[in-house]
Amino acid sequence: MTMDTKWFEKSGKEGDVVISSRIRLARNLQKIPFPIRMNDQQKQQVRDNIVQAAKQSTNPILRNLTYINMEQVDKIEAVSMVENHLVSPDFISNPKGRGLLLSKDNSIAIMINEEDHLRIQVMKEGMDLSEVYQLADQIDSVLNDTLHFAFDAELGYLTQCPTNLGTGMRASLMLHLPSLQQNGMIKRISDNLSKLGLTLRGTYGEGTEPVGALYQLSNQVTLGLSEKEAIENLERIVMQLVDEERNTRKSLMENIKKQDAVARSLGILKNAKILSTEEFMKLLSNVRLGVASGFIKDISYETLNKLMVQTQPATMMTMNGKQLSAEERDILRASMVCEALK
Amino acid sequence: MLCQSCGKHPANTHIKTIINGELTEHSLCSECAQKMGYGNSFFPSNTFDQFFSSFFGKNSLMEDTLRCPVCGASLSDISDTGKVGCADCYKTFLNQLMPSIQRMHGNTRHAGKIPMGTALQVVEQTQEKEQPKEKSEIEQYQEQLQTAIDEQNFELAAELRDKIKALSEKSE
Repeated sequence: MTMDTKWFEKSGKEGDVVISSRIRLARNLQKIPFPIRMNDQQKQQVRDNIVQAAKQSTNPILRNLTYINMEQVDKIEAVSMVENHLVSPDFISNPKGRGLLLSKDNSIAIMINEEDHLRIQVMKEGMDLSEVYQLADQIDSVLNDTLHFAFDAELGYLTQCPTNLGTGMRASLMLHLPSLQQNGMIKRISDNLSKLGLTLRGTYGEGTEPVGALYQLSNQVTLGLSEKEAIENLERIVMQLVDEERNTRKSLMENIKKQDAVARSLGILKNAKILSTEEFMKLLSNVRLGVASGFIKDISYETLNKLMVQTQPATMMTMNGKQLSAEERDILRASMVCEALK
Repeated sequence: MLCQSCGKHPANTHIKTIINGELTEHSLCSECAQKMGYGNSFFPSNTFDQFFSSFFGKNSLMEDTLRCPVCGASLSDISDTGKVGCADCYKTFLNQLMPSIQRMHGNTRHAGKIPMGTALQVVEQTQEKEQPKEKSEIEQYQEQLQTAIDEQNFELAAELRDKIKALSEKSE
């Protein structure tokens, strides 16, 4: 692996179910309106201050972040950033006054002037919320030395949306739950989780059956719980979910029809000449299940994770440096997949 | 506009997503947003917006008269968007916001990280004490200036403003 390998191209702890971990901290400067009430001049000022704080920091992690002015990023590249989970769709919908501070491996992405002045995000492959939080915490502390974030002893970090008050922390895990999805158990689980202050939602596509069986589990409560408590709570619950998914997989994979579906999915991925995103994501989900249950032996999670990101429409166009029609993309996707799974 | 999912109820939640390489906006009703995991999980039958507006009764006198001194937001600005205008709004509208914050989180007291900034403020205050004479002179003029403005004595106000300016330039 080269130095430039991105976090989303790797696989980590509990990688058969947990694809990645993310911590996001919402922070704001004092005495300046939140983005919803800022004028263009204030947005630029805040952006300049934040970029300067990072660039002039004595901390090498912050000093080495690359600054990207979102006004200068073309639309396709911006969409690709969303596909790579670096920024939110909302962030690219209006680039005015917005900026991004990004680390080389893309594991640190600080959004400037999204819903809050700063959204410090740290991401990592597999399940590792504690380590991810440590880094986010460090970045937060260093930036606070010069930026002095808005904070209240009772309400904690002050945020544009009151749902983020307190720690301003959203911890989330991307999960692959094909067996629980196929057995129709997601709805019940999701209802139970919401009673515990957690949210389970599809990563790609809407509804309770998201494409590729990829889900995002995150905490909702930020006030009255410490960061450590919130993370421990989330990790404890996700391990139950991981166990449940693994157990369901075992019984599901005993079924010859499911074995057949997994084997056929790999056959199509290896040989198809045209692949739409949706078909690819469905087949990839089956192949991942096959790898996890030991039915498919010579393919790694890294290969699958990498393919999943690299074959997203806008990312393919960005990597190729040109606009491609939907059909051209489907042909290119099929050849990329074929090459990677050879 | 009707909900794009059920086509029955009015849409009040707008969610931006990426579909096939393009930025798309979905308009959903609160019920469908809830089903898709976008609603506020604490209020299964209520969207966040409805929740806010129910708290700030539309006839409330406060709504129009009280504005945040830093960002100018009124309570109706906050309840309409569900977004607070600036950090100081939490001070200005604390009593009005508190019930919703409590319902939202089940708690009202921060239990997490405390930034190191508090020590820094103490240092600043000590520095102030080192040069009390000039500061207090400015402060006195500032008080007089406020009174002059309140009394609409603009001649005196202008005079005081010049004095404050001269003093603060001298101290720099």
